[in-house]
Amino acid sequence: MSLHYLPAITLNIAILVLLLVIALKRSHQLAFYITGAGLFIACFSQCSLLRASHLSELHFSDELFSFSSMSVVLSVLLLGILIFIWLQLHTWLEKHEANHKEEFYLLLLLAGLGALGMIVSEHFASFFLSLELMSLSFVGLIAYSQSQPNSQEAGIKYLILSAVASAFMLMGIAIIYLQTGSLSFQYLAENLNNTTPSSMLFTIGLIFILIGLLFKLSLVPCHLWVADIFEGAPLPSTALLSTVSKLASFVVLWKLFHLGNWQENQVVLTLIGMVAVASMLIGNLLALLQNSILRILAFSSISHFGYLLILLFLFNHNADLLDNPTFPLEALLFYLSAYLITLTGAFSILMKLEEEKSLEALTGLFWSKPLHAASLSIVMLSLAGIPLTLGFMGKFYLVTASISYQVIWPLPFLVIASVIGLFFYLRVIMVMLSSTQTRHSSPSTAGEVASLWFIILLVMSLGTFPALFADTIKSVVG
Amino acid sequence: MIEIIFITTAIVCVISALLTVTAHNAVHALLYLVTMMIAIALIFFLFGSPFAAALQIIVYAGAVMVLFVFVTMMLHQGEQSIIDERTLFSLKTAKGPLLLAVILVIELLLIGITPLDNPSSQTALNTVNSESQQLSAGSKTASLTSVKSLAKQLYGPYKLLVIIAAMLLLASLIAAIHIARKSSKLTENSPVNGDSESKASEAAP
Repeated sequence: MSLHYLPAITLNIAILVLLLVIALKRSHQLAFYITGAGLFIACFSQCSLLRASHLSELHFSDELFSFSSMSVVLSVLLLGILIFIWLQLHTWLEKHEANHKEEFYLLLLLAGLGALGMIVSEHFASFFLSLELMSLSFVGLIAYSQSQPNSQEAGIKYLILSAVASAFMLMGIAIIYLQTGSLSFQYLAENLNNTTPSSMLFTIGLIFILIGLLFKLSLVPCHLWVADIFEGAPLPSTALLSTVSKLASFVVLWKLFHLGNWQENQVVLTLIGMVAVASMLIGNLLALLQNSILRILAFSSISHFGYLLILLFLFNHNADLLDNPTFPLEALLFYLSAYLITLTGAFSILMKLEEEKSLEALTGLFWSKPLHAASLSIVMLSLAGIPLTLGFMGKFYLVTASISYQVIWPLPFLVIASVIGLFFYLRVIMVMLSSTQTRHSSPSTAGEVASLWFIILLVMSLGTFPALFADTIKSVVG
Repeated sequence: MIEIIFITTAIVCVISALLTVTAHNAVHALLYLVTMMIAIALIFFLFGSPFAAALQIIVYAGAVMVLFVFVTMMLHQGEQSIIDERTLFSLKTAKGPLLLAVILVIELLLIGITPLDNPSSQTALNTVNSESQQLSAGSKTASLTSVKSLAKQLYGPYKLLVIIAAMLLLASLIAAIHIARKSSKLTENSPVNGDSESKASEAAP
């Protein structure tokens, strides 16, 4: 058993200990600390793995899982997001859940474990089982709050739709197995290069798997669930769903793109191009007239993953102006982490505001809670891609990469979509500025203030001085 | 011969799946679902994996379905539903699943009478199996589908998947228990007995 399994084993142990503790004695405080200890130890072991060995020695694979420096960094990002959400979880659950708060931590850890497995999966069986582990935990997380019928409805919606998506994916996996006789990604990548990959059946299998992943990423033809579930689910579950689940699904999509000459498969490429353009435009258009900030974030996440799909066209593309073959990968990692950090920040700010899901409830926030409002506006500007924020650097990377690979055609759509997007991001800020009537506001605690400053500093400093972050990514990828 | 049996079974499977979805009554739908499970088991059996077929019968058609039917009947309580159930289980309504199941039984008998002489489908499946490359060539076709080799695979190269599957079950169990549990807020407002009675009376019509 290699050291690479240490984070997952830590999470497993944390889950089992937490289960026993819940069975013996229910204590919210204790559950909170056990979860935190598990997450911190997992993150620490993952980081030490990155630091201790030389980067090239990080490659390790067995039949089911493979580890590389890329996967280690993605796991660190994932665990970091989980820790950041965990930090806000205690106060949120105290405020919003009357009883049985402990299971939330259990489901959080299980979902994290599933996502961790997906990131390193190297075999369709391990990929599918981890995916199911993650989605079933999310069903529990979404339907968690018993006092709200909305959340139960959202849970049922997610359960049924994700079951359909899983069925599609299984069918696709079965078709590919029928063609190639192997479920291992490695085998597929090696052996499909010599054979003709563009047989009709193989393409159909790929499209089936693609449908399942598009559902998880809520890209356009499969996006209808996202707004209802974002609105209905408890806020921490929404935060986890939009960050952890999408990160893991996108990593798998990127991995699958290396298999079996997807680049040469014209049908799949056309499909992904259409999905990317439609997601960018429709995601932003739908967000224009929404009145709930959660719905806005839901639709904006559709368009952001639409932008990310552009990067998939660049792999194995021949024209390379920068002479830097790993640049698309750097751009992908940068954009993904920039977006996810910003989004986690946005959700943790929302978690600190009480029950303010509609835009009207945010009016005059600048006067009642200036720090909250300032951090929320910076996060919104980062999502819109305004310079000096992290989101701008991500977009800059993305555009540079696609120009250097001469994949120009999606860029006009990106520009149009970004301009549309600017409208509703700025609308949130405008609403917060608009009113003058002061409302009574409860004083914020020191931890709250500290985490808000942390978000502001992270988004601004990485946006203003991205060199350090970019160098880290470069050394990881290269 | 094997093709004909397969196609008949597949048709039975699809028909019963469609009827499961379209049936208005929950119990009827469940009966069709059982038929579909048995048809799938027969397909497994045809393609040379009797162990999977047995599991399909025991786990799905047996345990899970009995649970389903049991729970559905527990939810229907009271005088009215007893009368309802009397009509539910008349021969007339059970005709469809019965007919489909009889087809499956006839097929099974056919297989029993005339042993399938072409193992072509079996070898085709086995050669594409990547795991079989690791096994020695001699024991490949014979032992791949046996319980022992399955166990060796599960607790050999796939042992991590067993752990993940265990966690998957744990996750769904926790989620199901949490969602199904009555919140204490509800029980505080209304006494426990009254609550369950009102629910039962809601479910009865």
